[in-house]
Amino acid sequence: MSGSSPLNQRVRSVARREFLARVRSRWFLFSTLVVPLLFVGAMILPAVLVDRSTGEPKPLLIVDETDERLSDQLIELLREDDIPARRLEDRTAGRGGVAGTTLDTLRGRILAGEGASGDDAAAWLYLPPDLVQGGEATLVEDRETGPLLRRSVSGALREVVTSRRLERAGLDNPEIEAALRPVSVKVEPLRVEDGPAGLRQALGFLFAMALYVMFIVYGQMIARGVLEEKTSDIVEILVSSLRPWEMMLGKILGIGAVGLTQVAIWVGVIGVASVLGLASAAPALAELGLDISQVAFPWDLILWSMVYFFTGYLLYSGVFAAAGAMVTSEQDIQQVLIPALIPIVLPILVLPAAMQTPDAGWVVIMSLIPFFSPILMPMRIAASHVPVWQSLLAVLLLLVTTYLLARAAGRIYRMGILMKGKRPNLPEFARWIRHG
Amino acid sequence: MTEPVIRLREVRKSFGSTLAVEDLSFELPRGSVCGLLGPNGAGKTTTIRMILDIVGPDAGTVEVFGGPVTHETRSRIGYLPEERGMYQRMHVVEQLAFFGELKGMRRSEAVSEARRWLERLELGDRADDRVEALSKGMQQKVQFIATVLHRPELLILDEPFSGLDPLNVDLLREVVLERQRDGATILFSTHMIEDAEKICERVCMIAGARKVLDGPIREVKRSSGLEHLVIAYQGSPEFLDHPAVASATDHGQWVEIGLAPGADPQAILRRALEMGVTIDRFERTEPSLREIFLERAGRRRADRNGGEA
Repeated sequence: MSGSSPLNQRVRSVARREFLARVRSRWFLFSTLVVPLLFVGAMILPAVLVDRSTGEPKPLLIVDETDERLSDQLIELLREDDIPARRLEDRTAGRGGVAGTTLDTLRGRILAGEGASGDDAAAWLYLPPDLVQGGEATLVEDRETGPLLRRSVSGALREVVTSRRLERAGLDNPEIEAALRPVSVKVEPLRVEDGPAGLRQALGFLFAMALYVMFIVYGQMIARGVLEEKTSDIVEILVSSLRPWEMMLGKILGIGAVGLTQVAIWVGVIGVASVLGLASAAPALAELGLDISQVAFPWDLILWSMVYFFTGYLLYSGVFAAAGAMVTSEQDIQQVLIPALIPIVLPILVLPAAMQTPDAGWVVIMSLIPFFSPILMPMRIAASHVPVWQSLLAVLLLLVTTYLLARAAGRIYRMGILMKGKRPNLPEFARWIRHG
Repeated sequence: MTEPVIRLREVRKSFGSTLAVEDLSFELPRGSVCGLLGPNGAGKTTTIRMILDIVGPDAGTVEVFGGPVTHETRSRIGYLPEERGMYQRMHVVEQLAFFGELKGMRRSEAVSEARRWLERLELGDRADDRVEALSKGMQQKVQFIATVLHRPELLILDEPFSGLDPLNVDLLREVVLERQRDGATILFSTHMIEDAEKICERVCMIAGARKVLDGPIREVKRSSGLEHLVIAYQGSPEFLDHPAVASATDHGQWVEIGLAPGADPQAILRRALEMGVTIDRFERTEPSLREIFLERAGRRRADRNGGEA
């Protein structure tokens, strides 16, 4: 007697078939291999790019109109930050009849092609005659130079001008040096094992994106699998042998097992590669300011992510199975997939903001809401310290919602799988859910 | 007296405003081969789907093996749907093993049975090919194996022979009759009435969602109240324009004539001879199922039209 328990022989047979049909496919081999390669590539690429970028960077061209030739000291300081700079001209050079250059004449000359053009210069820095008295220096950019250069320039300028002002106030060199000694702030995580905060945050982003992609890929796989059975009329044989809910459950479990297998392979490969690769890459990363020697492999994050992957997958899979059952042709499927995708895309839209403040009230609430939690909670676990009760509550809410949704999805599925031809309208779906 | 394998009582089913089956009652005794006949759209497939509990009736009851369809009864039924469907990318044996497992077979048993059947139906060398590599006729035979693999006590075949060549039709018919000798009950639907007449001992005819007639073929014919003549002749067909002739169907080599109630067939023969027609064959016969069906279905249609007018 095979009974009708949720995991009876029929459900297992369907799950097994779905699992084998996909694991043996070329798609599985390809995607399972490519993702770790991309991951390793993403880890190696920055180091490679840093090595390559030693080619001559464009210089910052300085127009120095001050009486004190502040640019000498400025060029010196910028060199320490690896920013090449040289004087385009200064008052001494301009003495040959040309009056002092103003910002407007500088701009006009650059545009006219006199002086270095934008191809040869990173930017132009104009130092007005009254700079030390409180005048404003101007950085003229043809293209965006980025915050790094801007910060270096303003830092160096502040140091040069301040020391000149102190000199005028009568301080001597050692005193000035003492006054300008930089105050440094060292950032330290509360818990040593967390490693650098930036790394955790990046990891959270990576996991959220990975889960997002997995939900979409596997959700669509379910919807298309259901549609394939419909269009090829296999469903007619299946419904004569087993209950629609058994078909749906078997399919969801089988495809879910494919997902878990894939994730497990990735975690294994990436884990091994990280342990081996990070050890050898440590010096290079340290140069970039990342001390990884204290980073533990984030097992907690990985385990929670797998929990959220599976529960989130169960929730979404019902939606996608019903979506696949609602349509009758490949052309129609996009129409029903788009509304099904909205709750998955929404957390990704708020992800950049949520990452900055992973414990803000709105982020905490969103990360507990069933449709968003599978993506937002792993990000929070990575980027912050989420109380265990919040993680568990999110899982509990997910399971309850899944149960309720699965009943409605099962009814739509049961009515939808045998439907052909015209797609029913919304009132008809409502009737299916009520009476199905 | 054993109870019937299938029993429908006043079953009704409609889809939206379309009535698919109306007040259908029908019993299928154990061990019989029964044809479910009717034109396209008559409600045959809906009736079959209700027997399999794929769709539930709006009213009435459906019993199979003396009770409602359960998991246990499903595994005792083999169903060949009209729309054949298989996973195109699966291998033939695996596909059959999968369907066998769904019917409660152990996997190893399902695999060895599948191979045995493939040999029998001349597909042994294609066992490990993908389904998509098989011709349409071969796929149909594989589908048929999926229906009989688990030795079901009740076979429900929806248009089983459509699209097959005569050799394969004979092959499958042989298997069906062999299953019957082993004690299975067989219900198969077709719109090819001649097919049914060859292998069925019972028929159930439906048209326009209603049952038209039902019972053993011999009784159906006897109780039809129709008398038929088969005439083969040479000459002008004008003699058929006679009050005794209610209907005439030209089969090419001969004409099948339905006699008007109480008419004397000899009057037709005399008329033909008077008109100089050479008679090669003149025979009183039972009406063919086709004639009975046309007569009944036509009368029903006429009744309904009369009622509406």
